[in-house]
Amino acid sequence: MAQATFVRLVVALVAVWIVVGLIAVVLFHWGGTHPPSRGKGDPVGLTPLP
Amino acid sequence: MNSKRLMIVGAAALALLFWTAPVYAAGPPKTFEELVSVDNGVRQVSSALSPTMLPPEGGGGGTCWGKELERSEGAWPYAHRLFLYTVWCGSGGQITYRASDARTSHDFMCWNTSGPHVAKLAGGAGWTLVQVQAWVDVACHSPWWFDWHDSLMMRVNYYPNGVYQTVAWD
Repeated sequence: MAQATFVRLVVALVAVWIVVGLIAVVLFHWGGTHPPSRGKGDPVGLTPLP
Repeated sequence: MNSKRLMIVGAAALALLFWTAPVYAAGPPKTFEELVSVDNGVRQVSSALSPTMLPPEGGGGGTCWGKELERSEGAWPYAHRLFLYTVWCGSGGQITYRASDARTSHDFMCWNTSGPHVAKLAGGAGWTLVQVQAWVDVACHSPWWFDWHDSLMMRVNYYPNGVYQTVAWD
């Protein structure tokens, strides 16, 4: 009886470990951003010294 | 007597011609943009420019723009981000100045394994565009026994009119 409980506990822990890993995989690749395909820069007051 | 005077006048005219010839050969005065352009700290100086005529360090002239672009992936606690900041100037349809730098900002589970790197791929000062690429290799802890690896990249064209165009990202 105790052995069966232990086996069930190990199986449950492994299952949780796998599920947590799969969730983490999704989070690792989830969303994200990429630069706009086209745009205009913001003016910068960069002037050479006289 | 007349021939002696003629020789003196001829010699003076010849001397005047030699003295002024370089001035005419140089043509009209060049603009600052034509003489000096700067690309990521590297000054490209026209061979027609003597060292004493060098203007001080600074932008290559024209109008200048700046932009920070972001490429990121993942959600908390796995977000990993790459930023590319570029300042560029343009004048007369040409790039006159360009400076770029890349940085990263990750959530606590991730770190850089290489980079961030920045490289100019094409063009630059004196050209009609400059193409810049930034990339970084990232690793993140996983709940399992191994780390996850990823790389972020963006490749951007910058034009002398202030427009930028992303040509590739990964």
